[in-house]
Amino acid sequence: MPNATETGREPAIAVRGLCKRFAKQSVLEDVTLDIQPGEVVAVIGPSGAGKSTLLRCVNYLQPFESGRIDVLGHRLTGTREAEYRRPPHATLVEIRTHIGMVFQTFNLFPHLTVLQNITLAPTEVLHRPRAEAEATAMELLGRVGLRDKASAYPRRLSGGQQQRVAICRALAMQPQVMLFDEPTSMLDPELVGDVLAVIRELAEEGMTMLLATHEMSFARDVADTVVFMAERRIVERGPAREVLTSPREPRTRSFLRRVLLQEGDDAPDAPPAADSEAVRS
Amino acid sequence: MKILRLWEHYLPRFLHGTLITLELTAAALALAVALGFLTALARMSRQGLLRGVASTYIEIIRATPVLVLIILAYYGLPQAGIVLPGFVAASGVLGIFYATIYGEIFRGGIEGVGRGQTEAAQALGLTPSTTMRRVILPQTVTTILPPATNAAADLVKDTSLVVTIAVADLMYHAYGAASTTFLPMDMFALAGILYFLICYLLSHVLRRWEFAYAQRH
Amino acid sequence: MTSAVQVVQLYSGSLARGAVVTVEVTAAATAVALGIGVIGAAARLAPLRPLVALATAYVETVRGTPQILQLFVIYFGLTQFHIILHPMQAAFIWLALYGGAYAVEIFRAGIAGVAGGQREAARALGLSAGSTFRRVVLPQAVAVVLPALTSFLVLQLKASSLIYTIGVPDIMYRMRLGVNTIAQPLVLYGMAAVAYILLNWPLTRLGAMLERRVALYR
Repeated sequence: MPNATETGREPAIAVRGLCKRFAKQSVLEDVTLDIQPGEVVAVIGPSGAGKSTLLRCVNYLQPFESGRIDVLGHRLTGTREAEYRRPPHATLVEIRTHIGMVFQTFNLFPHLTVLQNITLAPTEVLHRPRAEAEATAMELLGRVGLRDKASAYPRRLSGGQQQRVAICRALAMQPQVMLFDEPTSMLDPELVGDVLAVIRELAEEGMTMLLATHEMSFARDVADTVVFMAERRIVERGPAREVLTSPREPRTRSFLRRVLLQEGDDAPDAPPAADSEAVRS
Repeated sequence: MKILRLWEHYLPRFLHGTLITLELTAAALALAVALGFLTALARMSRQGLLRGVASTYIEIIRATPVLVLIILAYYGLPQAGIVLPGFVAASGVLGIFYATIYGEIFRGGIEGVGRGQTEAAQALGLTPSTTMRRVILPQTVTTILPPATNAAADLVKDTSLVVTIAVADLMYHAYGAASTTFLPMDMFALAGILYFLICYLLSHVLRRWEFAYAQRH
Repeated sequence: MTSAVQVVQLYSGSLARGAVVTVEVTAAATAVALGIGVIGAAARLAPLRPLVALATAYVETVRGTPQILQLFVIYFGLTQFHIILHPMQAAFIWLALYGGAYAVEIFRAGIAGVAGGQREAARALGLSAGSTFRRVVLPQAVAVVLPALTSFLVLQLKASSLIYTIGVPDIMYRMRLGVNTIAQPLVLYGMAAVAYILLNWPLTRLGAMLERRVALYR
């Protein structure tokens, strides 16, 4: 499978044969995926397909059974692999400081102000002086239009504002890669736009990103590559426009038709005759 | 007003006893909180063995009356060559006993903080101890304080059991005065009022603190 | 010097007799305590001010003072008014009154724990007041109360250990007699501790089981 952006460089993240189970239930099966530096990869698919789990394996919030992930020069190995050894703490910290993550439920720290949320990790993990960390935080808040909320507690913010703060919190670590786990699915529709605008801006700046999303038109506009996952596996991957407008796999097609109908967006091209009936009705 | 004159006579003794009661409480509470925190961590550990040891410890201690443990530590241990002063035996036993209670309170509070908080802290590269100190524990204050206050009030009352090993606390002086004056009810009533006041002040002060904390956040 | 094994053999009969007294006093006092609990809970929820105040004062007094003080008040304190009680009587009265105060709170929480919305929903479905209580409120209240009652039993059994201080021949009393005869306090008081653990064990198991079953719909 060729990549959308062939840079010839080492991929920023290389996932090989990843398998993950929860108790007896398999959640990821044989997932293989490369993300090049500067590439924006959107993972789409029905809920329960394993999108979120894939993201969590990349920064090792969740260990996995087999396969491996090469991420920013470190190798994470499945717990069932022969060469498995528990990644040393320093490695995990290094990986996580270089990978920012934004959660579906924001997960801001409710007992800290917006500013404290953003400066906590830079001061505790990177040992930046407080003043410097605060200056960076204020600059980031300015970029997302929330400068005046610096001393507010998260509870007082709208969902969209909270998510923008969460993005600032991740960016304050100056990550090389950003993971977005359905960043807008918990937001009221009218608040989605502000958050997407911030993510779009990051993409334009060349940030390497892996994002799980339900926003198809956003994925089409922002992502270089779209990966469609269903039932624990990658079904199809390719350039965003191609996958979203003329998918090869029937499962991708039927998924997109269902979702796009809800979004009121254009359905994929050239559906079989029987299917076009369904679109019209 | 014979009662009041008697109370006046015995009050200094009672107040001295109250001081010992408070010292016992403070020593036992410090031990209970420290040991309780470790117990909570052990109960939530990924290590099955550690979890097993912690829950067995909790079950055994909780199934035994504190009085039996105090008697066992003070009168029983010397047989094994361990001779403890009454104060040490009592505060040690009370500390170990209340550690099981504080352990469960802490565990409840920590588990009440959503999984997402730990994940977010981990994703930022925070170490487990920093995550606990800066992210989890501050969020448990409001859930932990009310049950922790109740447990502290129970502890104050349970220190009275040291009367059985002759530590000169409030109860001990009340018992002494009751037998010498032949006015046991008056003496026990005075002691009861003092215990009630301690418990009331304790929960009142902590409740105010809790309220102030909740207001700030 | 008698060995530990010999001590255990020598005194297990005495321990068993003490355990019978412990269980008897606890069972009798707890039965009365539960009765007090139901009446007290009703009083606390009653629309009559003095009744509420009385029940509240009772509960607060018992919960605000040490157990041993309460026991001494009943056994020694009442002698000031020429009320001389047998140790067994004093022990029974104390444990019933002490437990009663906690039982009040348990039952009150059980009844109050069933949300008003549940009652409304049942009435809206056309259920009669009787069947609303029987089919909706009661099962939910029992779910709150049952696990609490097993831990209440454990508390009562443990509290009963205090009664040896006024001379009731329970587990601790018999072991202390043993200590006076042969100098084996560690073994004898150790036996007492084990006896309490064994008596409490089935109760805590039962409580954990109920807790799990109740967790299914709470």
